[in-house]
Amino acid sequence: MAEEKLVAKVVVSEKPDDSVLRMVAEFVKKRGCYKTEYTIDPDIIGGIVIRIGDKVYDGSLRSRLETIRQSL
Amino acid sequence: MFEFDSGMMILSGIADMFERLNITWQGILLHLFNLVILTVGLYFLLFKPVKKMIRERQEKVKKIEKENADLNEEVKALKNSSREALAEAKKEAAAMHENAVKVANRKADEIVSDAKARAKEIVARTETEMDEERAKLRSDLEKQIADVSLAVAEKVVGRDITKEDNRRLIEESLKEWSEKENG
Repeated sequence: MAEEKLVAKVVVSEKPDDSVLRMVAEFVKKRGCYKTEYTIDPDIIGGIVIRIGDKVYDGSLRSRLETIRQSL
Repeated sequence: MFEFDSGMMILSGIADMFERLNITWQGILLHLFNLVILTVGLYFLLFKPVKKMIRERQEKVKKIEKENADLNEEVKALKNSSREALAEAKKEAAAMHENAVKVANRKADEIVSDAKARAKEIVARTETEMDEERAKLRSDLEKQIADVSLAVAEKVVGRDITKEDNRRLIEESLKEWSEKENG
């Protein structure tokens, strides 16, 4: 269970370039993760979703559009 | 003298004629006696009963007339009574008719006012329902507009976003999360 927490699951809409990989690695490292699993899902349109244990960081365009839809 | 002679002659003639007809003074007296007896007998046997019968008949007629008069009076009284009863009945009928008209008018007023109240209630309810329906339609429409707008936005953003845009977006998100957590 503790080991699972160390794995960051990252979702992006397209294959990330090196700069993005670096930024993400640095971000998850600061939160105690040394392993990252990437998934490519075009449905999120753009941006990124990072799940570390129970914590979810959702910066996808889909979630932003959904927020706008809710506010409308 | 002469007159005496002629009178004597007439009497002598009459006596002569009576003699020829075989009429004597005794016979005349007998006939007179018979006539009296016949008259008395007829009086008692015929005249009295007939008179009695006539009197009875007259009494009967009087009685009938009296009865007729009584009956006429009674009929007259009945007529008066029936006229009064008819007048009373007419008066009563008029009163009943007037009362019936009043009741009918009151009932009609009640029905009309009830119908008006019901119509008012129906109109108010319909207006409320229409307002609710309008609000619901507006809400649905707004939702649909939002959905369509966002669907279009998704398509446009998904089509137009570049790799650089995506990288910048990721960078901004990471920066924002870090700043938020660091306070």
